Amino acid sequence: MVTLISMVVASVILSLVASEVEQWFPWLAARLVRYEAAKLPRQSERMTEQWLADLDEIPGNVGKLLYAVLLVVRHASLAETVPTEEEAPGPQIVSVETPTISVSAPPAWITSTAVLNPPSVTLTGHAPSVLVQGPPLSASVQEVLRIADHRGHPAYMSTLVQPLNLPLHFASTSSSPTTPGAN
Amino acid sequence: MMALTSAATLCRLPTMTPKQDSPRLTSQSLKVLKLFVESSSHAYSGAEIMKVTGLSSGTLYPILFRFEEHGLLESAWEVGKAQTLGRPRRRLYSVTRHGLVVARSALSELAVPGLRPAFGRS
Repeated sequence: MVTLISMVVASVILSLVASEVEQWFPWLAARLVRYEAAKLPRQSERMTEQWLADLDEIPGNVGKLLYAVLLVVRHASLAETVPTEEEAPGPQIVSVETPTISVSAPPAWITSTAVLNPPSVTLTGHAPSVLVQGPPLSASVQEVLRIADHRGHPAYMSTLVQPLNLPLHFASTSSSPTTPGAN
Repeated sequence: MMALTSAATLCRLPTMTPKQDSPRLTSQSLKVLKLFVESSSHAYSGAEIMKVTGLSSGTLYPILFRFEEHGLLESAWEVGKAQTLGRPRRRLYSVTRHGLVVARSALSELAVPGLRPAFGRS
């Protein structure tokens, strides 16, 4: 009888302790995520925020801890593959003149120079609102615009040019175009 | 501000080409690609990708990093500030056009169980 009571008491105490410990898992997971991000050779700030956001989305305390532990366990792989730092400035429109648009960008950027020549499409209007009209753009045109958009830098054109006849929005610092052709 | 009245064609220069050699594709990375092929216009956070693909954080992120580095995926912060959102900003991944081409090609060449029916549109 004493043994039975002892077992019941022990199980109650253990469950209480387990419950208490589990409450600390989110805190511990956040600490582990910060630790792992700090150990990365680059992008520590980005990964801290990104992984903390993931933790916020993951339901359950155990799941959060598991998420963080598995990041720490795979540190070598993460450190090896973590992307290079983002280029600080996005591409800037350095000159806009008829019939050429030149774009300056860091070497790592996919878009470095875009030159517009007649006569496939027509751009009318003034930045930051320009209307593009004409036949379907070539693949390269669409890619240039799309990359500029999806890189997260609202520095060049922020609207996809597909289909045509839609306004293009220049959300850039194009108000100070300088040195036509200086690219 | 100058007028942008112009007839034009964009030219693509060699320096516009990203690091577009394809990374090694494992069955796990194909799961990730499959997700983006099925909904190429959607952007996913890491947690969402984990949920759909069943991959763990330690497995998923090296894949995402590699894909991002090779230009298959791109990522951007969600709109808004952390203070406004009341939580950390999510980093959202979306597939690039190059990524779509690579993914569709890889998925069509490899008989990955459960994946083949998903890309009949290529």
